[in-house]
Amino acid sequence: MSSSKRSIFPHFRRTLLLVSVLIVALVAATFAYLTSLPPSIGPRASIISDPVEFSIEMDKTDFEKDENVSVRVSLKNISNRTVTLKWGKYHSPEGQTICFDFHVLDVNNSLIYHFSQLHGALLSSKTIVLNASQLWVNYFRWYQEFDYPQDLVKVPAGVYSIVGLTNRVGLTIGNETRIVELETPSITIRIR
Amino acid sequence: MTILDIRVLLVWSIVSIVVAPCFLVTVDAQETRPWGIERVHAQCVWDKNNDTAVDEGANAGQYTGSNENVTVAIIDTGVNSSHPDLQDNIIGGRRFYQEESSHIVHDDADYGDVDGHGTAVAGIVAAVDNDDGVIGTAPRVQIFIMKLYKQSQYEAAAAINYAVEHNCKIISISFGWPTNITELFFACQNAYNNNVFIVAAAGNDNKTNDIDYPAKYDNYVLAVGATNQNDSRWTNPEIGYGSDMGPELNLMAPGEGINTTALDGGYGNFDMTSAATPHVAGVVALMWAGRVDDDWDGLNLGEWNVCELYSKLVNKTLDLGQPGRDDEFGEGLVNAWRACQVPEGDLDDSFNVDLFDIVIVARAFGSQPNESEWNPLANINIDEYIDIFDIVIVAANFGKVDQP
Repeated sequence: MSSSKRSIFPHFRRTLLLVSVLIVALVAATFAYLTSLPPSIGPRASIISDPVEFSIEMDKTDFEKDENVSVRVSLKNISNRTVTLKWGKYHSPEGQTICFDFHVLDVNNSLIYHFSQLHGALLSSKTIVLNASQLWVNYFRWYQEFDYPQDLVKVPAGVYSIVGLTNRVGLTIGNETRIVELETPSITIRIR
Repeated sequence: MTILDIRVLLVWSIVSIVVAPCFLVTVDAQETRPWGIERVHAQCVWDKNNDTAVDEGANAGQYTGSNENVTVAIIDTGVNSSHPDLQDNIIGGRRFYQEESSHIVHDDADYGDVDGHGTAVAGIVAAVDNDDGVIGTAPRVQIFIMKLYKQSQYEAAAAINYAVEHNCKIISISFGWPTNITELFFACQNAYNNNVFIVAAAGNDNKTNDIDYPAKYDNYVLAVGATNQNDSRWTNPEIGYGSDMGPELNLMAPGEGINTTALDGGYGNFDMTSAATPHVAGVVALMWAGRVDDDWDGLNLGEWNVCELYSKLVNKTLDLGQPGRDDEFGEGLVNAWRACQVPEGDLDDSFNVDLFDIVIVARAFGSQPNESEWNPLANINIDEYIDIFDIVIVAANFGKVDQP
């Protein structure tokens, strides 16, 4: 009895050690594999108007009812020179400087939500300078609600289009300034 | 050239060489008056002897009472409450934040600024007289800071109601919304009914018939547009923006390159109708802190009410654009000096309009700024030229006495 115990124990410890090593190796290999994959990219739509690329991005296109919809609207300087953007009004909700805008359309192309309708504009100028290849992003959340005057009413399940807007902005590159007002192509989303 | 002339020249040269650089060295440490303050002639109310400091004691005249009993609520992005040009005038503040997916608005004490817009507005209203930085339109007024966190109209309505309940007399709003909601309308109406004066920015879209809310609430809110240093309506064609126009526009005030307090504790330029609005809020504070004008005390109660202040303010402007009221300039450029004279034409604060007031205008007659005879006190209608129109204002009120 005691001799068999002695013979089993070393085997058991060795097996345990081996299994532990295998588990650690498996976890490390899985982690390494996942991090080596390119990041998952959600839907994205953009428009190029030299010297900038204006884009809207989301994490996904299918949403549950009441789920918050995250929207990223960005502008990238695609030239090799500095670009200066100047707006005549802007927003600053929750401490974030917001100069872009977005709106939501239903299947009939009716406007049902517009960010700047609900958020007060600060009525002074805002200047943003983008160096070559620099990107500036505004982050928005849409709570699947209508605009005024139904601002707490949730929109029904269905298909909606989301569009990013630069608003009117003076764009300066070198000595030349021109007024730009861009709109991204829409991203279609479905609310179940 | 006589020996006397040579001596005078010698002394003058020595003074120029030795003394002048001393003044140049101290320029940086001195307080500057932003052009907007000077353009609306606010300094004539609190610095009659033009020594760049707020008058004290016997010199203070009607400004003796200072503005300790007048509080301006500033609805904006908060404030840098440790700014050396603001901290003495800030008496407190609140932050208003709306619940997610709800109309319920809460408030707390976190009214710090992270944007800088609110700090800039506060400086135009109330930067203190401290020999450094800038000075505000009403440098002794108390300010109460009201920060809107998500910047919804519900938060604005809650802030207005809070200001009314806490005895603020004036509310300055440099925000604009494109749509109307009933909560904001009722808050403005309630403020008016409780004798609280709301001043709001007209908007920057450079459009006709496009005044933002709450400035568009014509009966309850005074709408302010912006001018530049040429007294033209502020526009910036390069970026496609300009001061909005419309039938609800009441007044204009400076709104281009206004040097004011900045978020980092220093100073910077600020512009557009956001900058114009606090000039008017400051002027209303000066009026409210001063003596009541019997000519405008319609109810004869011996105290100002919003309606009387509004009437005098819009009647004492510098008319711009088309003669009389128009949609581009409203009633014209706000004139702090004329709005605060009690009685009108009392330039030396002697409580009556007499020969001494006529003499002040007569001595500066025909002069323009930067000329040796120029005296801003004599430029009553702030048209930057002392002429017969200034004499007429004094003459028309000659003999009037302020009845305490």
